[in-house]
Amino acid sequence: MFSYTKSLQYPVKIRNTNPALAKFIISQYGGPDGELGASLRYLSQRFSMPYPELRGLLTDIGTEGSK
Amino acid sequence: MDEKKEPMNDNGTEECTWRFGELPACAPLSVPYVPVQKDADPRYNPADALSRGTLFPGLELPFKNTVNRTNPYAGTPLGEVMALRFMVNELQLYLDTHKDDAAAFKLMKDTIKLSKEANRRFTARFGPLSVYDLEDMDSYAWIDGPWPWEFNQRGATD
Repeated sequence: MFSYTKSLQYPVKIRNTNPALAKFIISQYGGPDGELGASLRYLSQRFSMPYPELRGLLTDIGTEGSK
Repeated sequence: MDEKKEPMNDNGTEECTWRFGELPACAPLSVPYVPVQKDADPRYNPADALSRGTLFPGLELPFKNTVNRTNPYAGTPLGEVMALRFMVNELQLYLDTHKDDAAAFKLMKDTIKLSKEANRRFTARFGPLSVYDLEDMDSYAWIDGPWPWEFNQRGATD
């Protein structure tokens, strides 16, 4: 169910490295209330979603969120 | 009956009554609702959609009115692939809940076609973006750099 491409959805260019800021950003992605957790919740919720359009939407948003 | 605030509790602080919640100050309760997008029009062009983070101006809520103007791949073969794929993604999410919108589906199919052509143009010059692009390659170029996090090596000027 998983495939990837060798390109980003939007380019990321880090001009100045900033470890303190990086800590905030990585917690927004992988932290306790981060995008990764949200995407896994979408991907779990879809299994019991009775409406096909929302089953598709949860799968698609969950996939978006984890990439 | 004044429901706004109880006079004071034992601690001398104000308390919110049943009509109110804490925000932390007392605020009236409300019923939230989510309006559903009606139509796939109007739309941005693919490059603007990628910069703005949405294909649909009606869904655009820029943080502090900021708009991205810094896509270093804008106008490059990779930039073209990225913009068209983003547009396919956006139409996919829209069509999930609007499957009978024939015009939007036609637009999605046209965009898929354009993105395949752009993908062919890119991969012929810079190598595969997907393992399936290896079909036309002379050698196993999948592990050749650059990877997406290795910036600056794929025709971008910046």
